[in-house]
Order: sequence, then C-alpha cells, then structure tokens
Amino acid sequence: MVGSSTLQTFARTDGADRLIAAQEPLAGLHARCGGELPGEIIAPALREVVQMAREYGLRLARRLRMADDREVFSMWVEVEPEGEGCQVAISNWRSEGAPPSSVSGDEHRIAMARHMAGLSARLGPRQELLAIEHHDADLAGLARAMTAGVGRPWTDFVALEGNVHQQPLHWRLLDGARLRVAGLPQLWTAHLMPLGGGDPGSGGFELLLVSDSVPPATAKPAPALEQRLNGIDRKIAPVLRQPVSRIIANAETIRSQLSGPLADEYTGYAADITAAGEHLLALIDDLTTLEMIDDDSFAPAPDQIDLADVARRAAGILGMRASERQIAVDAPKHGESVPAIGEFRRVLQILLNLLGNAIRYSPEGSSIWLRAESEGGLASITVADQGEGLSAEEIARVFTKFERLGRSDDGGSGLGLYISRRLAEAMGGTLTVESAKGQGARFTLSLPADEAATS
Amino acid sequence: MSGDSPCTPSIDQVEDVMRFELARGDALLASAQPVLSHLLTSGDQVQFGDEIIARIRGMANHAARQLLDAVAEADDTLDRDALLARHAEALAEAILGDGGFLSHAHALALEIHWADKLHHRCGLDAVLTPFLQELAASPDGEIASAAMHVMAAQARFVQQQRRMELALGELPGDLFHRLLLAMRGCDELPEPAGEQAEAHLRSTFDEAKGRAGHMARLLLALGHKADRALAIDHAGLALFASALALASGLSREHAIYALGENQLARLALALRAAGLPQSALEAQFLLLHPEITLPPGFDGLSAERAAALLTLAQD
Repeated sequence: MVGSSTLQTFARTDGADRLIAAQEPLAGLHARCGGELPGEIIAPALREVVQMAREYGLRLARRLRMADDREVFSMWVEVEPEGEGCQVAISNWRSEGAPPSSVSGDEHRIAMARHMAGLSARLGPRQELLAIEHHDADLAGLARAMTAGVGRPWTDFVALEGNVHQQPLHWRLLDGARLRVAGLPQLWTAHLMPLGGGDPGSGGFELLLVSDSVPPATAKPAPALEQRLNGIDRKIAPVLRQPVSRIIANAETIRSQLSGPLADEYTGYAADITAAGEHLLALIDDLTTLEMIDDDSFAPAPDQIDLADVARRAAGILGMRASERQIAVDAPKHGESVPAIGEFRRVLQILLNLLGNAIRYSPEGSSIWLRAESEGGLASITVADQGEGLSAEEIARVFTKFERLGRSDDGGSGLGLYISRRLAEAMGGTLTVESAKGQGARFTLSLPADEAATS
Repeated sequence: MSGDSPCTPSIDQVEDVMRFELARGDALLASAQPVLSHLLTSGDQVQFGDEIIARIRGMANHAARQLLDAVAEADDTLDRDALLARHAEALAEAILGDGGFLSHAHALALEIHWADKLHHRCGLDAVLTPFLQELAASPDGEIASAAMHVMAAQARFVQQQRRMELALGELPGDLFHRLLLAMRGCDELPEPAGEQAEAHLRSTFDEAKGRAGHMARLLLALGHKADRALAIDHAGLALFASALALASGLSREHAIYALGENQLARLALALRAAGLPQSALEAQFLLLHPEITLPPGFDGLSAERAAALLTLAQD
C-alpha cells in the first residue's frame, strides 16, 4: 500500500450504520474480518466514528486503526453524514505491522476474562459446543443444557443483545457481545479466543462468559487467631522468662565452678547452656515487643530526648563487646546535642539493636561511626559500619520479620530490625538503610526534631 | 405601614433564604479546601496559574458568544446585544461545567503557554518552524499543500489564543456536539432561531478543517518521515504534540499535559513509546526541562514496554 497516500477509498453506510458499499482496500479488510456487504461494520473504531457522525449530524475526521488477523492498518478517515447514512472517505492507508503492545493488552484481557469467567467452554471451528464447565453456581443450569446440546452452536443457548441477523455470526462480532441467560437478571459478556495455527479459529475457540455485574464480595470471616500468630502473649512471657532465668543462673554457677572444681569440658557445656539461655531470653523479649507493637493500640510515650546522648549511652553499653573484637566505636562527642521527640527507652532499644548488629557483622579491627545531626525538622542518627554491606536485594528484605539474610549463627531472632523500624514509625520517624555490597552499611534513624529545644 | 404588608417577606421566607445561602456557603467552603491543597501541593506553578485559568474562561466565553451569534444571525429581527446580555453568562457557565471542554481548553492553554516559553527561551516561532518551511517547499504537491494548511491553521490558532479565544470549528466533534446541547439547554432561547442556528452550525462543522485535523493529516501523509516532527526545536511544539500523540497512542491533550513539570515520567515514556533513541530523547528533555536528568537505566526500557506502561496508566 506504499504510496497510496493520494488514493482515496470510498464507502457508504446506511441509517443503521451498516456498510452498504465499500471500495478496496476497506472491502477486503471487511471481508477478511468476516463482514458482509451489506452488513455491520466490523472495525470498532470505524463503527464508532460513523455512528457519532450520523447521530450528531457532524462531519468528522480522525486517524483510525483497523486490524485484521495479521496486520494493523492506520488511515485517515473522513465521515460525512449524507441522507440517512454516511459517506466515508479513507486516505493514507498504511500497514503498521502487528504491534506487540496490543497483543499484550489482549493477553491481559484474556487472562482477566479467564479469571472472572462464570462459564468456560471449548468450541469447535464452527463454534459448536464441545466441552462445558461452569465456575458460577448461577450458570449450572446453562452448563447442563449446553452439555446436553453438545455439537450445536453455543449461541442457541443464550439470548444475544442487540440486532443480530444471521447465526452463527463471525467470531469477531461475537467476541465482546453482550447476552442474557434465561432466568438470570444480569447481562453477560462473551469472550471468544480463536485457537489453532493458520486461520484463527481453525482449531476451534475458547468461550468465556463473564458477568457484567460485580459478584457480591464473599466476605471471609477474619481468622480470630490472627493476632496470636505475631508474637507471644504478654501474659505468657513472664511465665517463660522465670524458668529460663533460673537455667541461666544455674548454668552460670556451674561454669564459674562455685561449688567445686569441674572438668574443662563441663564448664564449656555450662557456658553453652548460658549462651543458649540468654538467646532464648532475648527471643522472648523480642516476641513480647513484637506482640506489643503489632497491637493497634500501641503508642510510645514521646518525650524530649537528645539523640547524641542516647547514642553515647548505647556506645557505652556495648563498648565491652566492641573492644572484645577490637572494633572502635566513634560516638558523638560530649557536649554535642541533637534534640528530638521520642521515647528514650525505645530509641535506646533501636540504637542498641543497630549498634549490636554493626559490632556482630563487622570485621575485627574495623570502625563504627555514630553520627547525630538535625536538619529540616528531622533529627537523625546514623550507624555506619565497615562490614560487607548489603546488596539491593538484601536491602529490600532486611526489615522484614524473621529475616536473617541467610545467616544461621546463633546471633538473633531476625526480629530486631523489624521491631526497630516499627518502633521508629510508631514514634513518627523512619528507619532506613543505605548500603552496597563491600561498602559497609549506613542505618539511619530519623525522628521529629525537638524544635523548641533547638531554637 | 405595618410589618406584614404584602411587599415585606415573612420571617419564614427570610429564614429560608438565609438557610439556603448558608448551605451554599458551606458547600463552597467545603470545596475550597481540596482545591487549595491541590494548588499548594501540585508542585507545578504553571498548570493552574492565573494565566491558564484566564485563558480557559476566555475560551468558554468566546464559545458562548459564537453560539449566540449564530442564533442572532438566524433571525434578522433579533437584537444581538440583547441576546448576549441575556444568555452569554449562563451559557459560558454551562460550558465551563463540561469536564471534556475544560480538559480540552486546559490543554490548549498549556500548549500556547509552552509555545511562548520556548519562543522566549530559544527563539522558536510558534507558527513558522524550520520543518514546516521545508515541507511547504516540498516537490510533493500534497505534502506542500498540507503543510501550508497547517501553517495557516496554526497562525489562526495563535492569533485566537492571543485574544483568549477558541473557534468552535477547532473543537473535536463530540465536544462541539456537547456545546450545542448546552445551547439547547438555555432558558427561553428565541425559537425557531435557536434550532436553525444549531442546524446551520452542524452542517458547516468539519473536523478535518480544524488545526488538529490538518496536523494529523500532514503527519499521516508524511508516513515514516513524520518521526522528524518529534523534535520540538525543528517542528515546533504544536506539530510535536500531534506527532507524539500519533506515535505514542496518547490523546493530543495528554501529549500536551505530558510537557508539564509534574508529568516527566509520562513525557519520557511517550517519547520512548514513539521510538525515540536515548540521545534524541535527552535532547527533547534538555529543551523542555533543562534541569532534569533521566533516571539511570532508562535507556534500557524498550518502546513496547513504554507503550504498555502508558496504556496501563490510562485505564
């Protein structure tokens, strides 16, 4: 069709927007799509413009796209109302090939229809019924009738909306057609997918009926036990903590050989019991906190605090553990002050978690920096380490519940960062991380700045 | 002179009036807050600037005047000024109440705003662009004449916009139809002049003769060479917008919205969907938004994916 820009194609439509005369290449396209002359306009875009021009009595001119089974064409279409129908003039007829985007759009539509279908059926090449399955109880009757009538055209069993002349219609006219099912109030839409290679439909069709009215939402009763799954009941925690504490205390007594000398292996075992007990205790604490912060009524008690001071305290508490691994912790200098609004205990808990992680996962002899600053209404404290850092994919997971990033050592429960972030958010702040593999990690806790104390 | 003379409204009536006014005031106040918060947070000073609002109002007033002029012309005995005084304001209000008209006029106002800005920034004329000059001199008679039509239509459009006007013939057919319906809705329009005017307006309307129609026609006649219109500095903003719409599948209005400061993603995706390579895409961004850099990795996005993203966003 190259060079056909000056060529004009003419066509006429009647008062019911049916095509009554058409020149090539429109006539060919119309026939390939299963249209008849005279007959309904198959291309939806053209049908719409012709209908609008006739109803409004306006001369319209548009760029349109029409497609047959293999190709998409674009063209310039001018429609002029004349008598009862319209005169159509088409120029600049061009092939655009088969656009991939429309194909994927169609796949999207088919996937939706399959998901929503109340009834699906496999049809033969002449649209005769082969196999029927219903997914909507309302359509059980129709499915039964269809199953009894296998071999007949599917259109015999439904009432198509609109003026339908001869049956069975070309599948393109039926794809998207609205219909009614005897005994049911709602309208249904038919989706027809041609199957088989070569000519579409040579391998039969897939038929889907989708209800136009949204099905009533089947409200699932919320499982009442949901909340219990998150953590551990606050009433149970003390009951658990007590015996665990006793185990730790007794193991500690054995390890320090208070009641007499012991073989080295046995002190080693006692030390293991202590460590395991402490881990268990920490886990109970984490689970209790988790239970508490996942509760909707959880609200921290905000106070005026100094982030630099909290950071210094956290560094003091974990200083021993850091020096055991020859890690230098660079806390904010004395006299430095970054006022913020938050709950002291919770902020300290977050910083202990961040600093504890940093110490645990940094190489021996490295440094960790704690930097507090205040900017634009936000006070923040950053914990930066020289560890191996996190990949983008790990960053995406690091704040999720029970996430240990593949670490299997007995370091923690995988709840620390999740709890820290929830606590930060509960205090109106954020907890974020910047990192890249091999470049260390920077965890930043931001809280609302204490404007009153700053100014 | 007693208090209950027939001319004085009863206290109940007064209360009714006051109640109605209070309710109206409440409704206005209730709508003020979302509008204000939107204006303050939209981040684009241009999109709802005074100039844009004034232009939209001007276009609606002009559309109303043209409709009423047609009525006056249908019947010589009618007094045009009286007709305008009686109906123009209400009709303009009704037109402004049409969401479709608002978006169309808004897009045109933004288009002329951007065209002016580009003229100041890099001396690009809104009418006589290098591309149009070249096409007007084309040996292909059809293209040369289509280019001349576009140039004339664009010159008319720019002139009208300078007067904050919008010719009815420039509207898309469905909007034109809705404006005629709005005119039908006028109270006590003299008949049969109103009906005759509508019939006359319908019969003379021709979408192909509008500026958008001429531009689409020219671009289609150019075929593959239409890609060259996807350079603002070469083709001018008007033809660029039409070419972007044709190539990316956006409506022309959305193509113009995409030029705005808070629609950078839409612009980038539309340009990519239109098949522009990275360097050409960056050149267009440099013209429109010199301060913006594209997100890293954007050059890896294919035209098909960009088109799919745009289509999904419009659903």
